[in-house]
Parts: sequence; structure tokens; C-alpha cells
Amino acid sequence: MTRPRAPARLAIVLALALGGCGGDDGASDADAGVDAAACALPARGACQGNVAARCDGDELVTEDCTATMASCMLGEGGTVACVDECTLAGVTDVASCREGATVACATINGRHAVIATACGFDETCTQPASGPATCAPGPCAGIGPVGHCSGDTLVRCAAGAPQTTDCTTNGMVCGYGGDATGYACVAATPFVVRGTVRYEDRAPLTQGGLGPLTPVVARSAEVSVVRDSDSAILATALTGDDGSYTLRYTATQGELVHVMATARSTIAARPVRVFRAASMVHAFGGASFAAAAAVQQDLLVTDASGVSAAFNILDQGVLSMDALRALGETPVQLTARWASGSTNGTYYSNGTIFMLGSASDDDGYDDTVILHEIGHFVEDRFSRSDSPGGAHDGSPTDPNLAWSEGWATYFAMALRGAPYYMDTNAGGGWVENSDTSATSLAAGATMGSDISENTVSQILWDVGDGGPGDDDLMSSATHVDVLDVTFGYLASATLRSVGENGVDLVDFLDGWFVQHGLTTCGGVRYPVTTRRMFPYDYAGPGGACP
Amino acid sequence: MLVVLFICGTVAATAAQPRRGPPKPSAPVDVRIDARPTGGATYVVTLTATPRRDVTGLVLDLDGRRTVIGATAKGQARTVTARISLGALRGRDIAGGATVDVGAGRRRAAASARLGVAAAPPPPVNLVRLPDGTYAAEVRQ
Repeated sequence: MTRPRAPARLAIVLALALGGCGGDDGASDADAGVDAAACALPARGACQGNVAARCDGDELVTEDCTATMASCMLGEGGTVACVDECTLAGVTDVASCREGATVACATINGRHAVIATACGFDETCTQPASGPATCAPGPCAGIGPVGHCSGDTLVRCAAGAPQTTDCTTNGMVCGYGGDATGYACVAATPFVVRGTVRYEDRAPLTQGGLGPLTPVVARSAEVSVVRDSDSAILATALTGDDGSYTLRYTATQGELVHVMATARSTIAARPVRVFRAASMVHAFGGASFAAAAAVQQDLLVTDASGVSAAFNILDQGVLSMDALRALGETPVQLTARWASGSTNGTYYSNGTIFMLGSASDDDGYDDTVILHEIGHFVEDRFSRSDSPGGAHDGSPTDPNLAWSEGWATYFAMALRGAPYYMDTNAGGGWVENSDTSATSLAAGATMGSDISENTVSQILWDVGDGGPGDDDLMSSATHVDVLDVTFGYLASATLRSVGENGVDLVDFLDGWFVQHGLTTCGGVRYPVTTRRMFPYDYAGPGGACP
Repeated sequence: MLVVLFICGTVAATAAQPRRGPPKPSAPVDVRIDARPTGGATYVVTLTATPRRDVTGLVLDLDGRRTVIGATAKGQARTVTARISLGALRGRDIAGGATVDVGAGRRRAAASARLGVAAAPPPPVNLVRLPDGTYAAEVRQ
């Protein structure tokens, strides 16, 4: 059985669902806040709630956008106007596919909004001849980068679709052709062993604690045939994404060998390894058997062995590498260190994540904690961090530290498609729900004030989530859009000298409007200013919000 | 000359050890469990929680029993004690923790202690040299 790894849906909306230009509750008031006598508005006009206001000479001209199911925003020519977002985006009420997401027009609070639901990293958007588009597991699900063998039939993913090849038609057999090629049609060897590698997992629960032990397939795990007498490696392969492996080897008939699964992936697409100690990778060996023409050997890496959590950490690394590739990045080596009993702490350092394994706090099954630390790895290798380091407990702290920690937590949530950070420890644990929580800044705070890491992760989640059931007024983006700012703007831009020096939430918001434009101003105001009172000035290098 | 060598040695040592990143998100409270045998297979177990900042809410739990403490000042130690009998068991892990309110959320720190005989040792490891020279620490089924 496999448990969901990638987000079931990464929800996005391509334009404002609610909120208009600065409104916080969708209500409109044609004259609210506008001094009609002076008509002192910027030349481009202004949005007052969902009312477009501009000066015609000394005369104030207003238009209630809600009357036409439109939203107030900057229109063509850079002036404030009522814009029907669905018309602007060319979207109808029947969902269609667009950039890996389903998009459809819906009416929310009396306005047309483009609602998009991004497909998970292991899903694709499918557009039937008639009817709405849907996200579904991709046709290559369960195959992965190396493919697998089904008997002597080679199964690979080519151009996004499964492709099968009967190797026997060329007088060959199916086997592993090396990390560069994965499974392929190869020359026959005297012996073959096939099977599936699974490990016992304990999924974190949103109410705290861990779920029961559940076998899940090990993806991209290295498997080897080991000769019992001298521990020599006779053959090596990687598991496919269905956990299956095929190992062809040469040995003396009848000599004892066994299959060993190693907690590392050696292919360029997923360079992940989980060490027990320095340069010593976790591994699990199956029962011995006599070398023979064809043997079936399934492996279940048990919790009792003290190794299964290492395979869970490997799987979180695989998930992260797949996400990086989906976001257009080229994976680099990730090393993890975990061992049962380790009290060395959970942290990231120089390409390696270290995970606690102590009796009072073992993070081996804590997926969001693992992904949080991988988030620091991603931040270090693909983006930028100016975190000064130090402990952080959710209280207001240095903005650079809060950004780094809040973003890493958000990274974990975005990859799982769920707004929970779950850290279990002896007898329980704690859970943070970034979708429903609102950690606000105190009145009088500035852009450079200390801020909670929770505020950061909550804002990022609310900006990136969307789709049906979204509980905030920002529905105009995807988690992919949020992550893109990290890999794009933050990685290379010259940051504005406001707030705290170095990367912080201000710089993310600056980058957001640079990369995604000012049509999202109203939506962003809700989670940032209205709900969490972060005093962003909406006047970054992307332009000033109306 | 000696001073120069000392400085060079310090730089080399610093360069070899990359900076340790911040620890994972934590709860602002330190937790400790102490166990005192009282004869036979019975222990008096004490959980001590000391907040690292003023907290508006503090809840202690020890061996499944929950005690609501409430607001606690930074540095003020709070304890709960339980008498625990191993019964027929030769050894047992005891867990406890402290949950504190942090802003809009809650965080928990935990501690554990082993009563009685030590837990079973971990399974033996067989070292296997992989083709690239890396060693695999193999635990057999």
C-alpha cells in the first residue's frame, strides 16, 4: 500500500477571488474614504473596496465593480478599472488545463474569479474531449525515472507516457542497465532475483502523534545482491517507483546470497543518501537464499530493525527532488544523518540535514520536520538565506530568522499539500495549522519589527492555497507561484533597503509583485495586512498597489 | 612564531567544521524527568518543566496523566510527580512533556526515562562495502 506523498492538490487561483483592491471583506461602499470635494486621488485612480474611483478634472467618478461582477484593479494603460477576471484570463465555468493546473471561472462574493487548482507534483492535468479538466496521477505514476521490469517486459516513461518493450523479441532480458539508463533490455545472466522493497512507515497525525506502522513502497532505493560468505556486491540496481526491483547476477549455483536495500538513491534525478554515521549509509538485508535461476525476494524494512525511518527520510528526499525538478531546478546531492538513539539535534548544515533519533524525540517519521530541514537545504542551495541562526520557538524574533524558519515550514506544507507542521515526541507532540491560525503582529509594528516564524508560514500558505474550500480572500496563486519567488527573485535580486537587511518577508512580498504583478494586490492584502497585521507598504520594486 | 601557529590552527579547525544551522522549531520550555527507585519495582518519577520565557498557558503530562498549570513566569520550575510500578515488567520507558501556549498556537517539549532494566540493544550491524567505496551499515532481517 502506498500513502499519498505529493500534494493531492496544490490549489491556485489565477486572479483575485475576493477582496478587490484593498477590500478586506468584499463589501463595497461607493464613497468610502473618498474626498469628493478635493478629488485628491492619484492620476491612475484608486480602489476603494471594490469601487474604482478616479478624478475627471475636479469631479470624482466612481464605479461599483461588483455591479458587473468585476474586480477593481489596475487595468490596461495602468489606470484603475473594473475588470472581469474571467474575461481577462479567457476562462469559462468549465475547467480547463493551464500550466499544470485546472482553471475555471466561479462567482465568489458577487464577483467573477478565476479558480485554479494546481496538480500535485506527481499528477497531470487531463482535458477530456468534453467536460471539465481534472488532475489525476500521471500516466507514469509508479514508474519513475528508472522504470522497472515486469518479467522480461521493460516499462519506462517516455514523453510523459508509459512505454513497454518486450525484451525477448531481441533475444534479451529485462534488467538494470546502470544509473544512467535505469532498467533496460540487457544480456541475460545466469541468475535473477526479483521482488518489491517496502518499509514500515508511521504517518504523522494532524491531531498529534504517529499513526500505526504501515508498509509503503521504497522508491529509488538502491538494492544489491550480496554474497553471504564475503559480503561482496554481485549486482546493484534501484527500485522503481512501485518499489519493484530486478537484479541479474552471476554466482556459483547454490551459494548463499541475500538482497540488501540501501537508504540512498544514486541517480542524478534524485541524489539522496541517508547516513547512519559519517559515510556509512543505512541498509537492510533480507533472508539468505541459494543462488538460482529465478528467485522472488520481497523485503520489508521493519521498524524493529531501527532502519525503516531511514527509508522514510529517503522518501522525503525523493519527494523534494521531484519537486525541485518540477520547479525547473537541477537537483544536487542531499545528505541526511539519522540514527536511532541520536541526541545530536535536528538541524541543517552545509548540505546535510541532521535528524534527532532519541527516545524522547525521534524525528525519523516526522515528515514535516524532515521536509522543514530539507527546506533549509533548498534555501541554501537554490535560494538565499540571511538567517543569523539561534533558537526559535514561535515568538517574535529576528525577521531574517523568522523568514528562513517560516519558509522552511511552508516548504514542508507545500510539498505535502497540507497546512500542517507536525512534530511528534515522546507521549505526544505538537501541530501547527497554518491555514486556520493567525499569528498577528502587535499594533505599531513596522516592517522591520521582530516577527513570528508562524506569521511567515501562515502568510505564505494563504497566498499559495486556493481552490474549493479556501478560507482566505487570497485565491490568486499557487504554491508553485510562491516557491517560484524563492527560486527567482530572492535568489538573485538586489533587495530593497527597508525593514531588516537581508532576506525577510518584506523581500518576498516585493518579489511577489515583481513576478506576479499588481493584479493580486487586493488578495495579498487580506492574509498579510488584514488578517495578520503585517505593515507591508505595498510599494516595492514591482510598483505601488492601487 | 608560536602565536602565528596557534592562529593558523584555529582557522583550520574552524574551516573544517561547517556552521551548525538553527535547531528545528521548538517549544520555549525545558523539560526533565527524574526517577528515584523506592524499593521493589516502584519508582517516584518527577517531571520538571521550566519555561524559557513567560507563558500564558502551561500543561504538564506524565505517563499519560495531564496537569493544567496555567500562566508561568520565565525560569519558574513547575513539577508533577507520579509513583509508577513496573508490575510484571522488567523495564519500561516513561514519557512526559510540557505544552505551552505560543501566540496563537501551542508547542510541546518532551522527555523520557527508562525504568528498570535497559531496553534491548539495537540489532547488530554488518558492514558492506558498496561499489563506490561507501560502507552500508546492514541490519539483517
